[in-house]
Amino acid sequence: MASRIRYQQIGQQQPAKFWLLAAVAAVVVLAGLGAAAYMATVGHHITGMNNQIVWGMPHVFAVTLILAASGALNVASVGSVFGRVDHKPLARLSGVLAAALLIGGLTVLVLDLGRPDRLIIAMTHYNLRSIFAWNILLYTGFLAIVAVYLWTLMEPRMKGYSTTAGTAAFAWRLILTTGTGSIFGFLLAREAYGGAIMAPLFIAASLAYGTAAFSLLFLAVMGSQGRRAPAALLGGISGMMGVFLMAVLLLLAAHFFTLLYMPGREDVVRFLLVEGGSLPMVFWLGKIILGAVIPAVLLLNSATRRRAGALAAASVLVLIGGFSHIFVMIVGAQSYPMQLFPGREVSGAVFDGRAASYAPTAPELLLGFGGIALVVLVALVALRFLALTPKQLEDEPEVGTTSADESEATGEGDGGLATAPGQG
Amino acid sequence: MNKARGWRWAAAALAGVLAVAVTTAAMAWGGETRERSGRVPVPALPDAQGKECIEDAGTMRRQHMHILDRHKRDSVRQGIRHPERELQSCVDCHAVREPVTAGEPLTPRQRLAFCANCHSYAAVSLDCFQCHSSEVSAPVNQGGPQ
Amino acid sequence: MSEEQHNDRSVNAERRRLLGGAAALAGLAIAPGVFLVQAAVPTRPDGTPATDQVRWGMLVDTNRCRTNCDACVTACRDENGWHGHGRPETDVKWIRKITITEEDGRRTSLPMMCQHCAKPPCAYVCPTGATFRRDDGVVLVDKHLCIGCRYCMMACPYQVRFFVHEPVAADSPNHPRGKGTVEGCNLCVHRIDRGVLPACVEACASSGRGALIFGDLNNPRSEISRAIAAHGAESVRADLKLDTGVRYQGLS
Repeated sequence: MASRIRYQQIGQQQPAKFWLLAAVAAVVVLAGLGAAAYMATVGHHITGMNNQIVWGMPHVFAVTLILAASGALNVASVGSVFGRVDHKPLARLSGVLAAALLIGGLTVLVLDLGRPDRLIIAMTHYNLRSIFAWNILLYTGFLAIVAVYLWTLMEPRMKGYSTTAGTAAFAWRLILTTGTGSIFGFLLAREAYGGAIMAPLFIAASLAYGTAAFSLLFLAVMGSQGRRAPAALLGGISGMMGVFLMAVLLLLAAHFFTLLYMPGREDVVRFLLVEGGSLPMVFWLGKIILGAVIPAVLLLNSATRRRAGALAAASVLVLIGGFSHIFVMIVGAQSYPMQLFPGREVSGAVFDGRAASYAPTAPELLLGFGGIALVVLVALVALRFLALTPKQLEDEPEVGTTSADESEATGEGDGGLATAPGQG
Repeated sequence: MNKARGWRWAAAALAGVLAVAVTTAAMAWGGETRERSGRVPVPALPDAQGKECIEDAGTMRRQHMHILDRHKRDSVRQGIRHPERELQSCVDCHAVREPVTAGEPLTPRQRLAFCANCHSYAAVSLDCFQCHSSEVSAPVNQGGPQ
Repeated sequence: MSEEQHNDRSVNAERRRLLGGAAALAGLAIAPGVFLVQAAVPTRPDGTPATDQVRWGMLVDTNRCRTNCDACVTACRDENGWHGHGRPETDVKWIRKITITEEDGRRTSLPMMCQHCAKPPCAYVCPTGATFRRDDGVVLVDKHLCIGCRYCMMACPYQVRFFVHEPVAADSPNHPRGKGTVEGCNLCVHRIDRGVLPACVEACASSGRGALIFGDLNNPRSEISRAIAAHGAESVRADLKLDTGVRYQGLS
């Protein structure tokens, strides 16, 4: 048992800096909302999406954010479920980021609907044969479970339930990501998807991308206070992300090799990885080189894996890789011509037999970035008004004395929550 | 002391509820007679083409949304056809005809003044005609699917 | 016989009720451009639901379908009002012509529209249940429930569902359409429910070469069933085993 951990709100020491950051995020959120309103008024034809590429950038952003949401809870799970005490103080940050990422992703998804005004129908009419309908339940349930989990972490009287809540959240997010992967795995029309492997592939992806998102938040919070994260903790997070990254690569390789092995499916692999316009570049450069090889070196190499700068760089790269991965999965799968008459040359009015091209326009990109800004905004507000940030981590290196004084002052202002003892 | 104050509150609340109820009833009455005009102009309802509706006017006024909703579900999902209950039949009977002399064509709102006037009076949004046609159907279609 | 003669929609309701339940009989050409259509479609009385006693289907004889003919497409567009905006990527096409070119240069032409699967992937994946299969086999979109998520378009292997990308004028009383929802061929339910052939079938018979037969696949005596029994027919992407309601002859 380590000593009691005290938590604090942040953002009060430098209110101007904090609110400026929040204002920038809010402006981007507003721009995203404006773009969504424009799309909803004028119609989706002003986006790059069309009747061949029906899901585009908004879905790439949304799926990446939703995957990261599930994975952002890793650090909390490692602390609560797997008993790593040095990770436990970060559980609150981890939980709040998971909720923020999910809210951001879902907002983008909903605002891209053809009839976003009918969201109430999605909440009241369920076709339980649809994995999409199940996902609506899984997402809202995830938010509820994370809220309860955060409550058990932050309310001293509920402390005893935090392991139970953490375990429930852990199980729920595995099911949630299985559901997200199955959205694609269940589609027999699209040859690029390979059925059941989509679920474990998405789980591995969520673990990697979510840990990357968490690392960025954690390092930013520490940096904003002029603190340095303990090397052992950095090493732990790096190792975790590195292993998840390898798992993604392994499953991705298994997926593509399986398709290649099947005579009818080798063409789609050749399309995605070699011939399909800019898709192979996005995959090999974005996903493999930037998103996997370089971060793997940074995360697993003993010279860099305990360094904050290396972890930050690796996290950004892993997220770029995640984005590229989902882009190739979603847009690439639709670009590949639908095989109505396999092996025969066809032509027709919906570009039959031809690869579909996709050029995203500003509104859909703005909507996507608005979603990311919403994640930042939600996280900032939570950090400011809830005591989420541990004042002192185990083995945290000392850096000056001023920050300690400041955080003491803020901690007192928050009564019970700010000084709630965490279980070390 | 506390008890007396409680009664005063109850009396005030009751008076408030009564006042709202009386006003609403008066306005509703005013709406039916068409002649009385209060602060808000009473909706003018253009005459329909046919002689009688599928139900009496009072029932239609209160129940038309339920009749339409029921018919919508039955006809779309189960294929149960009742030509006289189709929205297009309502339009064919109630829509204001185009003026005979050449001029600006009527807007959907003008054509469906029968619906729109009352809906705006009652402050209830009317979204049927976002998709459904507000135009009187061609003679070949008239009278719903026969 | 001549009493039963009529063109298309101007069916006298009384007469049609008398004919209701009669087996589907073919349009019979007695002279170019003149057709006798007898109770083209068995009718169901008003006020009764569609049942699975009937399964509507369509048979396309590709040997009769010409490459340069699009009578079915034009008729469908006029009937259901899906006029385009000159933007082929986002315009709606309930029905389209596909040309298959073999290696020896031989060409096959056929119309492609919703195949009205018995196991429709689009209806399986629809989160709100907006897309559904009516008991008589017609796959429909209940646009009152469609939220425009386009998951059905991801799921359909035939590329026959379309998202309405732009505001539309609500000008067809036959088929209400609205921006932001998904739509596709509905086998002209508004026509078949009153005993009239789908617009494409009618147009193909009058200005094409009669390549389309519409009817009840469950009734072994219907024209479509007899044609399938006599010459066989296959589904497009039969390997997917979706049990389509639209079948083709002369594909392979």
